[in-house]
Amino acid sequence: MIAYLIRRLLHSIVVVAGVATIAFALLHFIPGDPVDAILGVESTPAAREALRHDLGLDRPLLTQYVAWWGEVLRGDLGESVMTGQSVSQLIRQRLPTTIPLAVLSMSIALAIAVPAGILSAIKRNTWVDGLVSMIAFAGLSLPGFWLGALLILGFSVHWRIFPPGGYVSVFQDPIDGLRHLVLPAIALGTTFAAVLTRMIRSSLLEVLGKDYIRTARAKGQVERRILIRHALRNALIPAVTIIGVQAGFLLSGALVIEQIFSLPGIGRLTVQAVFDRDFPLLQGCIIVIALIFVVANLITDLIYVYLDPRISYQ
Amino acid sequence: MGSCVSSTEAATTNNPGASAFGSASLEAPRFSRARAAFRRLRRNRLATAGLFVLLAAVFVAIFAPVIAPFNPRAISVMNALNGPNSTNLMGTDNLGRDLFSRVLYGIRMSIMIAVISIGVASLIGVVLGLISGFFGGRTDEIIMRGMDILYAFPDLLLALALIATFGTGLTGLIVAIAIGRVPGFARITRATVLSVRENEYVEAARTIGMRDSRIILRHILPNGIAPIIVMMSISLALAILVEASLSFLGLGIQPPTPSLGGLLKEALGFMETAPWMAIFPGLTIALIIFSLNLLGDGLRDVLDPNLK
Repeated sequence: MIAYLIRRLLHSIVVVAGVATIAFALLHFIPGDPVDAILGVESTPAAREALRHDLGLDRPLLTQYVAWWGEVLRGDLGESVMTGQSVSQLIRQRLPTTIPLAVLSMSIALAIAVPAGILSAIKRNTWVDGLVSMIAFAGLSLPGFWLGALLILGFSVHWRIFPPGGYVSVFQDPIDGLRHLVLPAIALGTTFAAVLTRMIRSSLLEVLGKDYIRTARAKGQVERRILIRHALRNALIPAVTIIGVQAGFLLSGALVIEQIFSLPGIGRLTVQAVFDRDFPLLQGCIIVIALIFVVANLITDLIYVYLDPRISYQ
Repeated sequence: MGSCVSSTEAATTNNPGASAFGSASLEAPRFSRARAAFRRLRRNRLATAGLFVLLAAVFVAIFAPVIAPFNPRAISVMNALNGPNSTNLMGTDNLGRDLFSRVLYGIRMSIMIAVISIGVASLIGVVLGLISGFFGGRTDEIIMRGMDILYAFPDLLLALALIATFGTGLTGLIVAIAIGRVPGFARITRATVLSVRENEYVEAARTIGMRDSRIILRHILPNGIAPIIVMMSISLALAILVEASLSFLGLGIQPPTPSLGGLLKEALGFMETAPWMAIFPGLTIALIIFSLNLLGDGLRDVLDPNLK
């Protein structure tokens, strides 16, 4: 077990280090002069020299790389080219928006998918199953940003139930904060709900075909009890594994959803960095997002191993 | 635009998924497996419906200039923001451009980009997966760790990062979408190679002194083609989604060229006055992705039940 943990951790570190290296390399892959690309060709020579120095481009590549790692490991992600603010501070300011959004959309997805998946499995091959599967399939195909636009159209423009966008911190005003997060969380969580519903359905069907379920039936257990005591617990284990993978999709979706709903989260910060060609900021966002993704996957793997004792640690 | 048509066609015919269907009508015995698979696929009604929608979309993509009733870029301020009517089937946008024609051209753009980028991604991914699985050892280790690193980027983030570096533009967009899909193809190909590699017929081929490249192409790849085709259809759906997302953010296809994501972006400012501007392009994207998912699911059932 310990050996597995160490190996898994080392693997995660290698992956994050690789991501960070790609992030570092992005600036150097720019065709032509990166300073031209960031400031435009009409900038003054003094400004260009200053930026070149700030980005460390006047030093040899290897020196830059080593120095950059030194800073990253100390938690210093540099300064934004546009605003001069510290990148780590900018990201820290944005995370309190994105994290509640991600948590809320995961909760909504679970609240829909668990009952829907169970219903679909126990009513297998009936019209109920067909309907749930069709809705799940449609949910899988809806682009989140389009769903977001439709939700604004219905619930903000037409019925005026929820605000069409904007941001109130859930930590300062929980109720108003949540009202601002509901529509974006639905738009973001729909795909996740769809994937999860399908997963729970097929995993529950597989478990219901197992010998121990037949044994439980044979000794006269009530169907509901079989479902809850014997089947569900085992069927939900595989569903846990996709939560980690889905964390990546949520972060990916947040890049677009935060834009539509004008939420000042890390997704919007990243997109702004791309528009401004603000490379230190973009590098910082990439490292933080990849780190969240890798850690989420690591935790999921560990939970999986904990939940299912049959998994070997090899 | 003529070159776009030919490149779309070229990419489509290079696509093994397409050739599996195309070959269904051939009588030669070596295609019998594809034919049997196609027959089973036809029994799955949803997958068949998906296939028909996609064929229609490809038809539209190729013949958009012939089908479109108006020039998609022709501005007519007098006709701005008209709702759907008999002249403008999907209404007009804020500059009076015909939305139906713009959606048709948008489909053309989306499909062309998706097909080329998945063509490139599958080619690179399959080659890396074959090398990795067949040779194993350190080569395998290096390639697969590289794939793990690419995998740690959420889809859209990798595309955004590449666009920040290489700039917006058709080539940049295709590269940005393709690179993110390479690890999926590499992993699935490697897994197949590993399962096929130990078979006796591979051993036999080796014993009679067949070259590695020939063993891979003749004996290993044909056995691993099914999961790759399924992967292609799912990846095409993702590619269309990523392209639409990028264009929606303003980092993909640049105006005035119409793209489905770009049309949605333009619609955001007119949600109250002209909801059709958002509804039709979004519905089109959803329908294409829906069909690809249906087809992918059907293909998986037909070609590789173990994948489910």
